[in-house]
Amino acid sequence: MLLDFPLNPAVIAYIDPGTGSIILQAVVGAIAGIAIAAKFYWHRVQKIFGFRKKSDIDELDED
Amino acid sequence: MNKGYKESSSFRDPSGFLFWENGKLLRQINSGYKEDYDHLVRSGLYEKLVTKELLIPHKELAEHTGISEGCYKVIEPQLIDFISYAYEWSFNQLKDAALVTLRIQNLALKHGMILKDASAYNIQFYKGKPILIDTLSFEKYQENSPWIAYRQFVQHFLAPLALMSYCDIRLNSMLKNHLDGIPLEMASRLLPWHTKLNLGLILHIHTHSLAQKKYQASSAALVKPELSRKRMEALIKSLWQLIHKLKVREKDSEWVDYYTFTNYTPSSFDQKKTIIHGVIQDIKPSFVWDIGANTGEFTQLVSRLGIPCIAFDIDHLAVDRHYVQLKKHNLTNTLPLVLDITNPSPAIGWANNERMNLEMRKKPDLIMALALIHHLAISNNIPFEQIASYLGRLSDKLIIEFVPKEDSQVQLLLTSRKDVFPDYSKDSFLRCFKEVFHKIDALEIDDSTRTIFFMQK
Repeated sequence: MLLDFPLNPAVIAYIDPGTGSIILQAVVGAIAGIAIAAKFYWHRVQKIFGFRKKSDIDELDED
Repeated sequence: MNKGYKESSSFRDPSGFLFWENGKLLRQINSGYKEDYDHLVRSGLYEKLVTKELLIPHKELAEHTGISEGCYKVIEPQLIDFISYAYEWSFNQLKDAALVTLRIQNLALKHGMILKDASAYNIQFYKGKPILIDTLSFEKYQENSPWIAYRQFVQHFLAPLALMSYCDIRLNSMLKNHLDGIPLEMASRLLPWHTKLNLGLILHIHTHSLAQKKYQASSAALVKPELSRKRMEALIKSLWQLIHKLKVREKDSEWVDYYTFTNYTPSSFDQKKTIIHGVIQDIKPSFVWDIGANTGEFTQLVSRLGIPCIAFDIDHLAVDRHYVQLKKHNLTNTLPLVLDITNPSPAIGWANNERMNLEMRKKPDLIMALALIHHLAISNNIPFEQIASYLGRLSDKLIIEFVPKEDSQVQLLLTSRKDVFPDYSKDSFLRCFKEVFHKIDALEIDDSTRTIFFMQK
């Protein structure tokens, strides 16, 4: 899964971004997106059935 | 062009640098960074971050032309009195610094910017809270571009936090040997196998380490997978949730129960506090170091008088509890830090000049060293002359407690070793300290064999 990204010219930075780290982000971003969405809907289901009362908002959302 | 000299830690980023001029710390912003700096201010991001106490405030010096070619602007950031480093922070200090970095990244993204670096050394503790001190860490966000600083963030924050949480709370000391954070293949190998069941750690550390290894010979300049804004937000949120859940494994440490075994009766313990409080009120120090502060029982005597104080202790768990308590009560003038005074933080980095050793930082005008002398002299075999000389080099005034040999805490130290300390006595202690501190007052405590000394040069 990690291997199939096209190689395009771009990333220029004063710190070393790390080729592996740049490639991995796309994979992690996608998986994390799915995990976070799944968690969100799971919490909503829990709320509907009264298992979850407290709001799940953290500082990151408040900003 | 003005005259000044560059700050030795500020040379990696071509966007600008810090320099000293007439005792003031200023930052030159180079012309190449003009667009990004202007966007930081015009987009409202600077104001938002300063209002939320996430970024150090600064003022622009309109008349200043900088100290080298290519200057766009000079700014004067609020000065941080005492610089500390991630290898001196306790778990929750490093965790809060990591979460603040992610909040900044999240807010930057909402203002069309992104953190171009995510170094733990860009965070300092200011008024009790972690804050970003590098105003030049932002650049304009280009849709679908990846986060350049992701690797740095994981190596500087997530990897040490995971190791501290899952292996040993002292492992941020590894940052002293690894200036750009903990290498991920090392972190991945050290973490216990069950962390491979945690999705966040699988992705950000274990797989990340494999990806680094696989592509280590490839050129980063040739690689740009698309990372949509939504996925970037998910990446940040996933790091946030993972770090937010990391905890210290509570186990009994050597020192955190110290105040249960103080060798003082309740009344003499109170008397000790009254005596120290009286001395501090008399001399009104402007900046204090409490060495061997534990969870800050005696540091409070200083901080309650509004005097800034650094509370050093060798025990990570004690420092962490101290920090959590201060945060809970919003007490902002004490900074607890992990420090082994028998092996203080060295100067590290390029030419040993990027991160300061302990003595290069702001020195105190009073040191408190309570219940410390027996650990230095007996546990660590440091002669009284050397203790006096080092403490005298650090401060002109000293409150020090002498713990005699008959004290049960000293006896405990001697149970497992030969008593090779025939000179460990109050007389010999005083003889050696008189060589350095010329005015000494002894303050006796009733019902106790211990004595508090107030010493001045």
